Amino acid sequence: MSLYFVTILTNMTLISFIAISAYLILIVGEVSFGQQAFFGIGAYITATLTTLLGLDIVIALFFSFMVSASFALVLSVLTIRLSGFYFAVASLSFAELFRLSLYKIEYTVETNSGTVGPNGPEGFQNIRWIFENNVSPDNFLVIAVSSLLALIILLIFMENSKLFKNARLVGKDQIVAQSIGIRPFFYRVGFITLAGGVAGFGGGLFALFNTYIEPSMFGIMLGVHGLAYSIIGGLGYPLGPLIGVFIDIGLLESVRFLSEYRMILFGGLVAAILIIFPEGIISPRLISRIKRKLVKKTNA
Amino acid sequence: MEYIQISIDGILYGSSYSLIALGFSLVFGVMRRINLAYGSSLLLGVAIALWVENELNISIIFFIPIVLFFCSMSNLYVERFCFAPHNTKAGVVVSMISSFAIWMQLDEISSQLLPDRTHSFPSLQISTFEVGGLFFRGDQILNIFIAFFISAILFLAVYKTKYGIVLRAVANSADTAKLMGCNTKLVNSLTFILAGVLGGIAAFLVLSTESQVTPLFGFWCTVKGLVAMMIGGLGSLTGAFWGGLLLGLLEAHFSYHFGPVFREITTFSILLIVLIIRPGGLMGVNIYKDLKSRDERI
Amino acid sequence: MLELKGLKKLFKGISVLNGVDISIQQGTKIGLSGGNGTGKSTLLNIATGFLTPEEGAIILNGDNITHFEAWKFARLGVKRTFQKVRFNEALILKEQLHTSDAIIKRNLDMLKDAGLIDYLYAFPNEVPLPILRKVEVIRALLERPRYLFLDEPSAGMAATDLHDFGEFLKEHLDADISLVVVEHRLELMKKIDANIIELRDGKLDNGNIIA
Repeated sequence: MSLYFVTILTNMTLISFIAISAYLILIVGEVSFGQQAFFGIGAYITATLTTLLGLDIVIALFFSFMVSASFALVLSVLTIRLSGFYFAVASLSFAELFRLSLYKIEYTVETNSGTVGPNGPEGFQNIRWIFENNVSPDNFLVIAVSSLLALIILLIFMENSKLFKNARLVGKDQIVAQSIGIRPFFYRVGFITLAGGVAGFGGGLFALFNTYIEPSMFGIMLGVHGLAYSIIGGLGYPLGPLIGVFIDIGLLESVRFLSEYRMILFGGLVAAILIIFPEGIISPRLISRIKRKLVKKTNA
Repeated sequence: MEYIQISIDGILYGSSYSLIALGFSLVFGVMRRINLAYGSSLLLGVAIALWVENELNISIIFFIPIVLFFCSMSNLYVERFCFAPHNTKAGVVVSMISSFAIWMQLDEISSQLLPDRTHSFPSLQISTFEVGGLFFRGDQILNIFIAFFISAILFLAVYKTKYGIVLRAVANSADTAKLMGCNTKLVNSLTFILAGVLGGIAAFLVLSTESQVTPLFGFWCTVKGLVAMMIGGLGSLTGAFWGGLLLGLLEAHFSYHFGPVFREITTFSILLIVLIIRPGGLMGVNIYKDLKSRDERI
Repeated sequence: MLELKGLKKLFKGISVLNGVDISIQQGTKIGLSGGNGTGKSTLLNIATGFLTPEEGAIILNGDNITHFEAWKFARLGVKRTFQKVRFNEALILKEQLHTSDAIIKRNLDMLKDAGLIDYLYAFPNEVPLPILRKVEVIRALLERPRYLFLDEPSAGMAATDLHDFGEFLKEHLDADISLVVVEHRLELMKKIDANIIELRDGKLDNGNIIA
């Protein structure tokens, strides 16, 4: 495989983590414009732990997950009274606050591989884990894809669990959920936290792959893309967000003559897809229809 | 003395926020929807107008109507593309996300039209004057008057004219208004055009005080307008005016004491705090009186 | 015993409930009637935890549960249906019962009587309203509630449907479940032999009824 192709595939895999985290929040009926912040938190945590403390990648990614999830937990508890547009804007302002405070965080250490540590607007440079461990781009792609696959398979198995069904009910109609004894607070906080963790994990991988990160990478456009992917993919099935990723990066960016106008085309495409499929391409109703067909076939 | 000067600068600067927030408030007030692409559509309008000016080399008198025209047209485009197709109750969130996605499209078109990072913008050339040792920027004084004037006119138009009654009827209940014979589609489109004209005036005044335009103007407009509106109270015209001034005042003091990054940090901190403590805005209503039921009718 | 004591509720300064007292004993059937806007639905929403009263208390078996959230009321066995049936249009009815296959099998009789068996795999918009109303009742009954509140169950139902619905309730309501039907029509209440109380001007007409 050519390097160009491997890079595109890796980027698709990494951004899928944001798309899936946006998807998880959409399941409980909220819209987040701030998942890029958790991606950024994860990236900075992994970068710090691998360079400054020399920790193993597994431990670093674990902490990326946990720390981002904790931030998401705090945010979700603070915004427990907000829903819809109010929550969306609250998450956006949280994300921008995080990004702006990165400009003020400066803690650098000189090592034999150069200056490392968060360095305000200069970003975090020399994240040399890939080079120190001789991980080729192909191998890194394998790591990223297998983590993403593990996550998606887990989600697909969870899809039929009571936990996910209740969460979907909370997202669809809190009144009915309460009337059968489901506590919306628990699902809302739980899913927003989980989504934060997922984004943080992806961010950790992103930091390792990119070898340097800076505050402007975690701006609002990253969040728009992540959200747009899961919205056009639809909320029916965990593979939905990947459809969005494929349309944007797989089709638009990798086709040379389109890539210059990618943002223009993609923005319009999202609005157009939402007119045709207001609930996304793989909508919950579509999934129900497919399930019904399968049941009828086995009964016949 | 120093504090007074900073406060004056802050409030005068805040007039730009008020101007933008009024447009937001108008759309939210009538449609109960948020147009996140508002700032970007103003940027696009300005970018097209600048491009036209560049090609035809026209004077500032003709430049202003061109800005207003293209701002309202790009706003209308957003309405037709992101809001009109989603006019059901379930469409509230979809249209918000759709406008969020269109944001990147409009921003990208604008930055292709303005290839340089910063682009000069015609200035009104009003000089700064001094009263008792305090400095007042003339163009910003003009802005604050125009912001006040516009909010007063809008207030009168919405509460005292026939068009205002139709507007409020649609805001109150689009379905009922439709049954009473209002053309709600037309009202929505007109609202967006009006918001575009309003935004065009705001964009022109703001940019002429800055005498330059950058591709970040769209993001700036959306965020500041949104924050000013939410501080004041969602959908309240007077709230938007005062919210903008308050935001300008607070930003000026915080950035003076802690450095320029704190201008933005203040903006978002205020937004987050207001949302957590009083989501309806300082002058708006308390949206969740009954926590248990939210505001939904069962 | 579920006791509602001195409930008062204001909406935008207008008093809707003005001191309502009812005690609902285990296993009784009450019909709460009253004209439009007399506060029947508000009373139901308060009794099931979806609204908080300005004054007064809700006592369940001696515990004050006034300020609990609605989901806790449901877990304590106080359940309800809705005036306008609430279903997720993207799910088949079987999934909308929010329960396991085992419980569905155990209650197959009830589903058969409700005429739901043919519609288990249908979307809500493909199912007639009388059956949807029964599905809401079944959704509440599956978890064995102690108190069941029905909000305007006869809205949009013809006389024959209402007759069916009454028979269905009689057949499948255990003797120890208390039922409160909130309606302005009296047919259904008479059919299930409920004690009828009338709500007028935010008060019960015959004072403090111990039903």
